Amino acid sequence: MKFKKILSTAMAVTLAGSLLAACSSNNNSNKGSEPTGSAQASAPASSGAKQELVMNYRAEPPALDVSIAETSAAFTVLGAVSEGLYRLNKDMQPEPGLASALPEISADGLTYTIKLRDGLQWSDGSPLTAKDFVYSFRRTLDPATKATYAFIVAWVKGGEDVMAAKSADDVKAAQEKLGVEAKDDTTLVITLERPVPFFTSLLSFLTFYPQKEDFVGPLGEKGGTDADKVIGAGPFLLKSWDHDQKLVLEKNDKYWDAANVKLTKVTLNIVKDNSTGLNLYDSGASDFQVLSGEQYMNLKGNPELVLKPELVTGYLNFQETKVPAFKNQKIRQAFSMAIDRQGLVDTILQGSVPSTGFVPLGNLDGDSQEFRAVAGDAQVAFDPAKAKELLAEGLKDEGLTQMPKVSIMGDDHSTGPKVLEFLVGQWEQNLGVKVVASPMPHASRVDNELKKNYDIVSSLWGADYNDPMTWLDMYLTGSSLNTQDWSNAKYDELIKEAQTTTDAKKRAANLVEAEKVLLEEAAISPLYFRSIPVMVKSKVQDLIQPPYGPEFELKWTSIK
Amino acid sequence: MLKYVLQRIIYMIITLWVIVTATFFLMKLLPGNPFGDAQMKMSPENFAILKAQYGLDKPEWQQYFIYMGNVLQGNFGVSYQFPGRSVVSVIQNNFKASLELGLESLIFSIAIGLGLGAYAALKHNKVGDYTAMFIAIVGISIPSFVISPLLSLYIGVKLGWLPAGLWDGPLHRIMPAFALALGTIAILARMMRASMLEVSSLDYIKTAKSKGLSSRAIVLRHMIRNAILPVVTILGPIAVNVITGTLVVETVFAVPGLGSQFVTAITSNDYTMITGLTIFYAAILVIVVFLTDIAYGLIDPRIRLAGRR
Repeated sequence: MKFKKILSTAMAVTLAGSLLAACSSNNNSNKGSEPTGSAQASAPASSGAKQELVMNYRAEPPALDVSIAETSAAFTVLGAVSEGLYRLNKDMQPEPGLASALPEISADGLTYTIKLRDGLQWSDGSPLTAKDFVYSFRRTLDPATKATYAFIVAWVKGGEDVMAAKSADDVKAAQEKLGVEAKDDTTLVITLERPVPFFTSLLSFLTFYPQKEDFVGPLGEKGGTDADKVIGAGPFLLKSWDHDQKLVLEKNDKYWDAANVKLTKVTLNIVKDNSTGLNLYDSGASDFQVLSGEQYMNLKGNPELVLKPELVTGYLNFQETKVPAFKNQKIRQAFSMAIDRQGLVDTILQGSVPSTGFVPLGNLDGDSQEFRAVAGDAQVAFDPAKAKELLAEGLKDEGLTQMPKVSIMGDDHSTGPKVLEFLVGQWEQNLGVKVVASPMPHASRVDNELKKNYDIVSSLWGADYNDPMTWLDMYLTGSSLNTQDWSNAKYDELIKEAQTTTDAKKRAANLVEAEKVLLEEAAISPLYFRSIPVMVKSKVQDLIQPPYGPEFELKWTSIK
Repeated sequence: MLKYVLQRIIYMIITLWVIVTATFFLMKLLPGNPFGDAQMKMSPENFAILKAQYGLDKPEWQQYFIYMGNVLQGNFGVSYQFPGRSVVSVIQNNFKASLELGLESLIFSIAIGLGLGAYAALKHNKVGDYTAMFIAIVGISIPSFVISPLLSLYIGVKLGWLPAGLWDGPLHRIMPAFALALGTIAILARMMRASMLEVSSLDYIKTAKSKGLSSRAIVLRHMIRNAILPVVTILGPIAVNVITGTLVVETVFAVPGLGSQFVTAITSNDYTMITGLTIFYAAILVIVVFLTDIAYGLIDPRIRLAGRR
């Protein structure tokens, strides 16, 4: 009997310990340590609604360095902490950011003259001038910076020369010749290698942000690795950064448009697992969470559920050298036509949209129209009977009695394997062709794809910039991304002409025409336009979720 | 003794060297490269320039010698996933949480496990014994990837008693530490029970009883103190297990630990992180095994270390 006492004493000591710990926690912890739905309860109670936002974020951002950043995590945080000449609004149109107005563009479309706002300041109070842009472009292109997105800045005249320069002296010489110049403190002149019709909107992209030389320079490779090594001129400051745990943003009073920034504090908790994230969201410890496909199924109809369309297309490539049968247009068409895309979306990729072309919904055409609205449905339609016919004809043309054994390669995570299974089923059912599914880790898939080591590959492409060219120039003959070895003279001509013309109308028309060629020949077989399901608490207003680049835009967000 | 220690240290270094070398070359067999999808965005020429900047254009044996040279100078390189952050600084940052979580769970395990074991032994073959051992069996049978999400969902969300995740304050520590402790509790409880039963039949307990000591004093002063010794000797390896085995619990409760770093390093081909973490974990294991062996020799005179004949 007495031993019970001992045991209970031991228990009591343990409990007391945790209680003590709990008490001391109340001094320094925020609402995260009071999980009992406090976020929901307290917000409506204090009617003035604290302008504070707590979000779950799925990844630790790599270095928050303008030159080096390449992930959407970095785009998102740096988009809040700093700013470019322009900032995209909710309609994805560029609004003047650090620039005072839209650029003056020369008649040949090559020279952009941009006036900066007067009295711009970095968040430490030092002046921000046109020279900071010149330094930024030069640094990004320097091979020693190891910037993977340098190719975009290389569209500036002389950019390729800087990237290819061998010695430090060559780099310096090439940088001097680079087509970006600070005429005075508030006038920036950028000269391009060839016309880029969407360049104004591109100037809002992270890689074109300014960098403060006497801040970034001394830090060297350590730049952007801690809160005190990040500087910007945007709506928020990076107040603290506990790696792999959380980032805290606070309003930047020195921002030129501070009057229109409503949020005073944003906490980004790094939560890598979706289920954990949803638990935190449900317990009130977070106002924002991205969902997995299964979670989306369970939450369908929930008023806090938002579907965020992305500029991402899932599609198939047919390797024509490894499988000569795929050189035959009819066989490719048969494979494409035998897929019920609506069925794919309904059974596996809920929330996404069946593709109607390669360039996804929402992508602009470079002439301020939506590409799909102009191009319409360019996809080979689902038609099992016709597909069978085409396959028979195609095989006859090639002198084959039956389709050679082929396999389809794809990612082995999330919905990847299920998509493969679905496609294999469709081809067996609608074409009578047995295809072997071969799922593999993402890195292997990409590696094999680039080495052209596949029969059919299920792949994904996301826009780097909002223009059809990011989709269509990869199928030029000989392009490193044309992994299927497809070649079409008319297509090449249309794209090359579009790359050089200054006539935006003609360019857009060429690109629409080129996509038509690509799809009529079933050179590739688009499957779906991806959407991401997200949960956002209803008190959060005007949280913009752009379809590419940063995952969300906080400048205009407020709490109701 | 000194000779033995020196010998063991040399073996440890050889072990580490073999592990690092094997990891280095196996890792290079992984498909892909540390640049991931960025490779698709770049022209092949620009990609070659980028690879050359990291020295990845050299033959693998050269990369190996360069890497080993750096390691010998204490330079473990810079992570590819987190440009600008050295492998050492990532380990320093993330190991804190893993270590803390491990130690806290160890405290849970010891307090509950020993208590449960002692209680079971004292209630030998009675209901209390069966109950305690049933709890222990359940503890060891339910893996942490089952219990952690259940705890997070029911206690964190449905009941709202504790935070469902994150690593902000002391309250955030309780559930992950407990989830991690469960398996260890079971092991310790069973060991403690066996050890207590063994001790309770020894002569000095009978002597104590015949002297008329209260049973409370017998248990506290004689039984537990003696029974706990063998349990203490396995605490070293258990502690290492707990500290290095935090991956699942870290993921479920969003703890910023080292376990998930290892996984992401491998999936993103972060070469320097993979080798750096391998060295780190291997060194912990090797050193603890070494210390445990030494400790055995010191505690238990029946174990003779080599060279002391």
